[in-house]
Amino acid sequence: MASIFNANQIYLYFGGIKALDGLSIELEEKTITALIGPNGAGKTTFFNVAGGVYPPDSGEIYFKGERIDGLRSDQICLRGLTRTFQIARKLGEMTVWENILLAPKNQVGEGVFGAFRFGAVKKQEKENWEKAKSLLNDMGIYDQRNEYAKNLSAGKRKMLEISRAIMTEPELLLLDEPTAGATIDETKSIMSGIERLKDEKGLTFLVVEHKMDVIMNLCNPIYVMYYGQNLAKGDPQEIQTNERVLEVYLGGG
Amino acid sequence: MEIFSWILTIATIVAIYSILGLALNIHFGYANLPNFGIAGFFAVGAYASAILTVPHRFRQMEIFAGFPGGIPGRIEAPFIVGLLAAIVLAALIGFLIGVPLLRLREDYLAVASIGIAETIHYVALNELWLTTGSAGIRLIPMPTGNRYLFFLVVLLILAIAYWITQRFYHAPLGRVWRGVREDELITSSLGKSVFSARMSAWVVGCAIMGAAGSLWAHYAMAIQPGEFVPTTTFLVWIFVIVGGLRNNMGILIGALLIIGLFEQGTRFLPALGPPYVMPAMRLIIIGLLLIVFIRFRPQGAIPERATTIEKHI
Repeated sequence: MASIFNANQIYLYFGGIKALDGLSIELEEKTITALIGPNGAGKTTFFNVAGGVYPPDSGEIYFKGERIDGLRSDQICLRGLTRTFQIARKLGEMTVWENILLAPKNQVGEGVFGAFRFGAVKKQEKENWEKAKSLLNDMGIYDQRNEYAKNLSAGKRKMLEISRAIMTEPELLLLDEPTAGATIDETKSIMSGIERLKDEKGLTFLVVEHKMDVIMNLCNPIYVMYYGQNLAKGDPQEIQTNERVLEVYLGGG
Repeated sequence: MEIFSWILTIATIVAIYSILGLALNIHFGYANLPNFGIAGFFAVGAYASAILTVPHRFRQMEIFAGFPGGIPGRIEAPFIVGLLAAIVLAALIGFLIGVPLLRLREDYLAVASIGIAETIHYVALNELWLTTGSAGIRLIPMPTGNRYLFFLVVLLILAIAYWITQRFYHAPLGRVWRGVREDELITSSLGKSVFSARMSAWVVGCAIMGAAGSLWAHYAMAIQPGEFVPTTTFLVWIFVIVGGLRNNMGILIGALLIIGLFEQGTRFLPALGPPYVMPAMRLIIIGLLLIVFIRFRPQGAIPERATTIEKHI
């Protein structure tokens, strides 16, 4: 299997704090890889570096064979890597459908003059909305399509955020706690949705999650990080029996 | 017939201010760019149009006699050229200023934009060869030569500005602008360049402010730097907030209410006390109204109204 994403020896300092201390992560195509670790390990920081929020102090990130470290978030997204956020960030004073239709790339109507190409814009809006409909149905937020995003429950906001990310038609999705705040049913439908996208569309996922049942059932391989460093990598079986992982998580040993 | 003339005056002023309000809605309502330099772009449009169209006769006026090398009165272009130049120049200056300005956070952007407008004011005051300085430019021709007909021209341009502003709200570009307003990080992680989005909103708004400036110059037929001061900017902000930021119809109503009734309408009230009392009362009433709205109805008289997807496509 080919590697689609390779972060090599990433260092990032915040003043004297080593937030990322030589972290390396490689993702195989069409896999769901997990990134776990105790609070403060640097998981979200790694997402921010990979997603272009901050450039790493040293180290390289390759995506589809091209270097992406140092690019801006929007440039990284246009290359096919989309990330979501730990706390579902929403465009609150915009409706659910506006949130969704914001995401597709290369829209005719995003130019100052393109906005006045009425026919072309309308056609593209219809096409994009057709794609969005079944996604929103799967995610269970179709009925809220005309609501303001700020009025959604925490679980539905997560659904909205994931749907929005999928609408950018990425090849790699970085999901930061996709089931946080979701109910048990919602968690199940998010998990099955992720699996279906991997199988049907060949997407690759990197998932940060705290719910161990989600990780162990959904992801393979699993990376464990601790204080900005790699601690372990393996399949769920190996990780569950790895002594260093147990020590970090359970504090015993 | 006196009353018609008076209504016409108010209606024209309200219409020109409405155009400024719509432009501010693109800046602040859509893209969260708090432009406190409206007067500056209004001035750029007014001066561009005035300098290009003022007749040669102006050079013979006594106030001009001191600037033999000056530009005004040399070109004598028609109104339409002045209007287009006002739009293009305001957009161009907006773009150049935008390159550093739009990298600032909102609060700093607000402060810096006041400074820029004041700079433009002082350029108008001091570059005598170009603007005739504090003497101002006079004899600016009113196209159509008739205030009634010119009012229709103003109305036409207001209608076009309204249509453009509405279109941007619903177009994908307006969605990107509003996405940037709500959360820059999300919008950027969805593949939209935040800087380009802010820049396009900024330049479009500045261009519309330039058009309003041109109309003002040709309506008033005389302009001087003292008109383009922060007070003009604040008045636009006040009626946009009262009428309903983010709602273009609300902005028209706000302009009518604040500019029409309060700025001009008090002329009909009986004068109370010394002559300076009524103008001061006006400002006090507008100030109170602003406070009441911000406290009790921050979304304005007519708030933003979401469209359903069914209506949209």
